[in-house]
Amino acid sequence: MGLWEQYRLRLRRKRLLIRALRKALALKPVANRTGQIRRRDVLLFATLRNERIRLPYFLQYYRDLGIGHFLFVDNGSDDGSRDYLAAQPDVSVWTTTASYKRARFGMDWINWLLRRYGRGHWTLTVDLDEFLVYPFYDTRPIRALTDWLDSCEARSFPAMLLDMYPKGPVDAVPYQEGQNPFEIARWFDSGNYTITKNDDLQNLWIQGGPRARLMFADAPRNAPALNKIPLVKWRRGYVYASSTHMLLPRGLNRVYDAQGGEKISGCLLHAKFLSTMTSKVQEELVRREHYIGSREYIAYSEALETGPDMWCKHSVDYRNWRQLEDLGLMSKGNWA
Amino acid sequence: MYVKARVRIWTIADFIENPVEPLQSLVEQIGPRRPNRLIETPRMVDLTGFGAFLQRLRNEGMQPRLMGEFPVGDHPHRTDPRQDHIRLTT
Amino acid sequence: MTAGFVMMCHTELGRAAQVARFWAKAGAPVVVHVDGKVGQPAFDAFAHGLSDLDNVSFSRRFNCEWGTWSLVAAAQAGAQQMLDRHPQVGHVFLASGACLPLRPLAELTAYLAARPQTDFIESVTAADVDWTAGGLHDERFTLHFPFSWRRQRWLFDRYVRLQRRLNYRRPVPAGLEPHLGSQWWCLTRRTLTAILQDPDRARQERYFRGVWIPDESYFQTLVRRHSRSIESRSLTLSKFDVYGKPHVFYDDHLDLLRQSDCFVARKVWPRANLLYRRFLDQKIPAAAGADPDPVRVDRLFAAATERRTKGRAGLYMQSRFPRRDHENGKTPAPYAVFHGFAEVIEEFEPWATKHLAARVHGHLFAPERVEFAGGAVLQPGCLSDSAALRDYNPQAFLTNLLWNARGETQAFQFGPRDTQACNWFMATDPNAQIAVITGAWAVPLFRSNRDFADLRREGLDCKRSNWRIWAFCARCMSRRGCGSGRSPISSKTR
Repeated sequence: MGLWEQYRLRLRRKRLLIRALRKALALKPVANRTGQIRRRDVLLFATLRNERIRLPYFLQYYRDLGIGHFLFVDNGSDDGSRDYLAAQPDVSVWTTTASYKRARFGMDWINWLLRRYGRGHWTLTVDLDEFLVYPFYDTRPIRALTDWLDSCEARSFPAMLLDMYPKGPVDAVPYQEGQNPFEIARWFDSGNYTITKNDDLQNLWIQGGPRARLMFADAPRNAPALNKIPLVKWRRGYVYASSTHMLLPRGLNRVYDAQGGEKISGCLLHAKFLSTMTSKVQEELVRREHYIGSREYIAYSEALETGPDMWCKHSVDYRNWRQLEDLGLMSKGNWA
Repeated sequence: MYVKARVRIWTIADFIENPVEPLQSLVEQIGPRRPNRLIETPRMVDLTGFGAFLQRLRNEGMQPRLMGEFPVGDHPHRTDPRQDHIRLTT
Repeated sequence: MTAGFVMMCHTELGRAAQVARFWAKAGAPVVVHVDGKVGQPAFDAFAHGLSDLDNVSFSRRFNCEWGTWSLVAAAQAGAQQMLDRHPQVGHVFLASGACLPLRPLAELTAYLAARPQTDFIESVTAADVDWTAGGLHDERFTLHFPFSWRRQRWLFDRYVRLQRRLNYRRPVPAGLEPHLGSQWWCLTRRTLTAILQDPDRARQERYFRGVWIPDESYFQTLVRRHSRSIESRSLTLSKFDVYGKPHVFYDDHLDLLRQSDCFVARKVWPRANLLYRRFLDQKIPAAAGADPDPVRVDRLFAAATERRTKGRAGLYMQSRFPRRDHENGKTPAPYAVFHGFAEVIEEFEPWATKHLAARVHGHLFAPERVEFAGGAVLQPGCLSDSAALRDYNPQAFLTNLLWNARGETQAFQFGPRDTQACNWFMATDPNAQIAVITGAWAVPLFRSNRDFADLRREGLDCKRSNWRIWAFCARCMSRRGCGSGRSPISSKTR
């Protein structure tokens, strides 16, 4: 990497950090229990808006994995999400009514929280519909993973977004509060993902899955990115550059082996395609607060109107992480 | 980086002259669906007049390449009728 | 006679205390070395917690740093204290705070009592070792290592390189033949005494202070001087990965550990509550008298190493994205490409489907759509027949198809009309079996019986087809003994 290149990336990183500080002025604490955070806790960071129905299962899932403390940014919920979260003993909540879009889809707020509270901790940044699956997650808590990553001197852990969907129309089976969403959305595409390397930030750009297959078959370039690096041992000066797809400094994005070997990786099971989606899509279309003129949401609303079935006869029924490992969607690396 | 694929190339003229041998090598390499069976040779496309056709293409100013030696006259190459089966050596 | 344990502890003192208590209560004396870097309050709490056990004592504390002499010095001090204070000890067992006993003490004592003269220590001639991290085997003994590998890696590497370039070799003292092995050993009182009282000890120590990672070589080398009977293996089940980092045991390894019949395992994750609870419960019955047999553990970790270093051939995913031509297998399995066969042979696809042990597709790279076998719209893995999706990343399309179809050979037609993006990829892939009939592209033109004026309009197509076949064949044949400038189709078959 040339000096100029180094300088350019450094400048970009600094700009993002300053931006995060500026945007964070809009955050007002609702419940700040960060004093309870213990030195080796794994912390979870998320932004949400009107996700009350998802919260109980989300919190339960990540508490079971061993998350020590949750830090949420509530973006003007009016469905009781904020109060529900504020009442939880292991949760800190900030709130804002500022524009999600102008906070780079919430990443500025999260970057600030990470900088303020994440330093020295393993931090997990996810959306409310993303559920982390890593090798042995059914028998080993997340601390086992982060301890092992520490011993490998690894600073980040990749988990590709895996879109899960039901059989039949997405709104056919209503999602109940507290329910495991993957009882309904239990299917996924196992082998139609494409990867390109982003030379600028060294990250891989992964696309594919049911959204590319059904909604972006004519314009695959526009299909959503599925690569994510949600788990990072945070240090001062780190910053998410675009959603949780990539980070700066860019060494954090080198989560893959380029010589043929396999590094460790997981999956983020994506519980987006549920009955909750119909109302969400309507709301987001009005708000227009999503990426590139909410292009994705426009495509969803078109697809929803025709009552699509994302399921096909080659869809795979989700069983466990070993299945995802066998299919080559994630890897144990040399963790045994 | 070297070529590592297993590549076999025939010109169309060579192939038409003796299709059994190339097809046999294909079956042997990929493996027969049912072993120990005779495999009938597939029917070749009727290429009567192909040589003349190529010559007309040339006369029109085009240059079809890599055809092998196709006589211009109407002497279609045909499979030897006695060799209508592929016999696997393995 | 009994066994005595020297325990080297630096973190997770709570777990270390549990293990020390396990051995001490069963009647084995324990000498604990606590790293000098552990703070006094933590040390006091630890010592206090074990103060009810009169056969547990603490040895002189050294500041230990990985890879340095300090670890040997601490082991020497602990061993000396064990020999001095506990005359009933016949074997001294060196363990760490992250060790977990897998079998009751009585079984270990009985095992050792049946082999009173045997020293259990892995000790391999330096030249025969292939498992060391960093590629330093015998150079550990012949170079100087003044810099810390952990803290001054850059200087460490440079200095090693410099010495190599200067062909520098430090002499090995006479009478020592360098050996390496696991640092966890179990030695007889006689051998250990002889090592510690070696008249040459001062000179040996001076030498070993300069050796890199002496805790893997000091006892391992000296035991060759003093032992009457060496069993070159460790009684501690301890496996290292390719990076020289110990593998860790978790709760889900319970059955694996139990079936290994090993006496002690290392390293155990401190929060593996189930393992600690089950193995420190004295009541569990064990396979009395069984010999340690860690073959299943070995297999598990060997597979993990294989996965990390070689990966699965033909897989492209988020944590395996090999650089071009460094794939360790571009594709997972052999596949066949038929170029021109469908043009020359009537009903070639049905014929091939019937007779070949393969799934025979049409033109997978056709411009209009992907011609999957049987006209299918989707393939396993939900691979779509959309030409746009395929052409967005043709190579990923091909590798996905092959990866998803593992177990079934794939075959497809290919021609000059098709997307040519994968030609180089296929030509350099040993799994590709490519069969070409050149000139076959003209057959459909010939059979179309069209007006020659039409054909002339397609003259461009002819030119393109010529060129594409030429390019394809040239790619396929390049550097395969065909002289440059020569037609790639110079002989009948290749």
